[in-house]
Amino acid sequence: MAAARVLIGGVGYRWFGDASFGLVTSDELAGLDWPEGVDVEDLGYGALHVALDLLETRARYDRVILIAVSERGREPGRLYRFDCDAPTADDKEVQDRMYEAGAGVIDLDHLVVIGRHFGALPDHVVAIELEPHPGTMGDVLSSQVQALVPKAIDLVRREVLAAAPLSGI
Amino acid sequence: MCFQNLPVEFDAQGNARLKESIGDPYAYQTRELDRSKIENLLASNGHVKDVNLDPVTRVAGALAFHTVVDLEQRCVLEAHSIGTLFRGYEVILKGRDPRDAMFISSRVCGVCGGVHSVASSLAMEMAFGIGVPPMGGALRNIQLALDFQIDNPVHLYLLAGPDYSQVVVERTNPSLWERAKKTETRHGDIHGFRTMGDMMTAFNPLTGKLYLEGLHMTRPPKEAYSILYGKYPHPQTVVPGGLSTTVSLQVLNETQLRIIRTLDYAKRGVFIWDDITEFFYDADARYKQVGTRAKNLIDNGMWDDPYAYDGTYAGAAEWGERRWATPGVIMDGKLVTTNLHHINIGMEEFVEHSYYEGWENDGTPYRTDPAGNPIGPNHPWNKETKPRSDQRNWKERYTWSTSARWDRQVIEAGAYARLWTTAAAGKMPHNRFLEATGTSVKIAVPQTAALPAMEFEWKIPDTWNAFERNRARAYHIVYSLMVAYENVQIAFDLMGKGENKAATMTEFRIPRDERIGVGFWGAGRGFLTHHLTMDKGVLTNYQIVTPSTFNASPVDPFGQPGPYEEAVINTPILEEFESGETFTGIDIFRAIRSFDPCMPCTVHVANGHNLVVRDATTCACGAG
Repeated sequence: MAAARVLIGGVGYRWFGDASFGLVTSDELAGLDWPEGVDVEDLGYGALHVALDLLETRARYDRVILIAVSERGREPGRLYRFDCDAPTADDKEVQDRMYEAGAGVIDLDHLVVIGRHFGALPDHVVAIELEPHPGTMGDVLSSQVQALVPKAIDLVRREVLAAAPLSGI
Repeated sequence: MCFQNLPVEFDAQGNARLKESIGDPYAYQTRELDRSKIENLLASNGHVKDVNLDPVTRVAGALAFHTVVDLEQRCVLEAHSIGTLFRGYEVILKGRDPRDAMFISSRVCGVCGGVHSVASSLAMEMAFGIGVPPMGGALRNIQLALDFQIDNPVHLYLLAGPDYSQVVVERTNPSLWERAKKTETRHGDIHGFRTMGDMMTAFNPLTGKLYLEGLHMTRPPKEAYSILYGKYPHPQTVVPGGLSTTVSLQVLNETQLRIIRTLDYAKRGVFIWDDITEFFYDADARYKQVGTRAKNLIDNGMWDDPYAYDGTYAGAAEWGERRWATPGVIMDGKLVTTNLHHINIGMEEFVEHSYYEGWENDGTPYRTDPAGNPIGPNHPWNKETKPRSDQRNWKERYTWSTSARWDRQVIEAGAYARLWTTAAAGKMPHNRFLEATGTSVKIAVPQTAALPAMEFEWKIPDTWNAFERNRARAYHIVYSLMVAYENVQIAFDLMGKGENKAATMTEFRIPRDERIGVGFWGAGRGFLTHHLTMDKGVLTNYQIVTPSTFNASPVDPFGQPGPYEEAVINTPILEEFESGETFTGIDIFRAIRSFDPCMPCTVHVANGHNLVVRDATTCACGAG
């Protein structure tokens, strides 16, 4: 049985305080050894272009694991596993997000909504998210959030392993 | 004499100097804003409404827009452009190796990183005292022209286009939609749409033929971009002194193939936007007032002549005028300069209505530019980025954008400004496919797969408004493609002469003494500068002025609203609506979106000492 195709992607801006958690973590993940079929990518660019790039990959991914920072009103400073399984957005929401993504705004939900609309994402998309404390800025992660990177790596590993039964890693 | 407001005059040799006998030449009085009239109207008048619009942003936060609209008189009484996202790259670049600026500034934006990388490289070349070998210059020109083949069509067909679509026009202006269904297009033989209704249906978001084609046609330029520069939109091969890439005949052939593949599409786009513009003008001449504002535009020009550019500030006045797009400033419709020195010394940024502190107590490190021309305390080389977020209200501070001005006048940036300055100057020397006539630019495009050879002519418009911005952008796509095409031919010629990989860049060492530099460049959205100062091998200041720094700017200390604000205030409300509840604001959206608003790169990042709560788009709405 062919190995599952898994994409691990960091989403967000670089050098943006704790809001860069997704990319900092994906940089770490990119330096690790992964089974065949598992790719780690920097998805820190406009969702429209990420979606188009995913559509053009030769073999589509079975599962996508995103690492990002999202404000969803949860207790801040903690990691959350977030199933990106919301129903397909209506056209108005997709276009509203296109306006923003087209202007260069990088955002996990933009990627999920736009990616799903254009069929660039598989059914199985999960995000490892940091709920941020408000107002953390700067060119590096805060020490508290830096300490969460190993935990996020572990959570991503588990997600990759969870993909195994799908097609047998 | 290009300055009317700055305390600068020119001697008989054309050298700039401060006017004599002015005690504090750059001092100014801040005009206090008075909202009492607007507040009274809002309080007492049922048809005067606060309207909060999100022309770019819905969720993640970038640009919000607040207006006060008189629905009975069908006019806009007040407008505020609000940058809601604070990034502060300028702060974190301080103290870093200057080469970091290429990579960090590329990440300012999720779609146009390449233009920042190159602007940063240009600033470093000036500071380091290095030029670029001809092959490197030609390849850099191709890169940025390709960038615009992604940026400009995405704007025209995915972002602005829906404002002219069937689903929008049928809802906001039913009578216009009825007219569109019956009106034959002028150029249906070329673009294939028989009626304007057919064309508007093709503009429908997510499903329309033009929308989907706009998406699909980003592919050829992105492929070409990836071959030479690494992954779009954050290039990996841009370096000071050129490009660290391998060029071969095969690479150039692959690039040329994709440029040619894009040409048919670009040609058709001109006719589409010509037809849209003329249809609206014919239907109601008041559409010429949508998004109108003073004909004040600025551009640095771009695409250097590989044989003229030497990276020096001293030479900028000369090499600037040899660019494929001529630098310039248009004031009240008249070209006032094409000299990059003048463009530079006329720049200032003000923060009286922005979430920043002034830097007046920090001194003025640079009284002149490297050529001895005077510059003021608000010039980017003297500016400090000092965020603050208190005093949020419409009279005081309401945005993270600054008020960038030239000669203390409100000025607009855009891809179209590049066409305008080039056309008006008539100096652009590269006339194999392009010709600047003084009133227009002519673009000769060879025969392509589906269309014959054509000559396009973009004429400086009589009126300046939302429609002309979009129309000019469609011409700019063809213009920049031909710049790319010509630079590929130059690269072929250089290859034939034995130029090779090593000649794509100039070697350099980081200087340890005090240096200063500026990258005069452009984005798909227009004017772009990166100003740097450095000492002991690290950056001591870094300032970025983007097109949206000008366009999204708030009211300045002289009481003048920014370009978005001015354009919206001048926009008549032509929408057909029953009541305030059914009012969509489409005319206002058309006005703002015609600028191709881009906010992530306009605003800036704080360091850890300035804790700033990320704004919601509703942060200041309604505040008095």
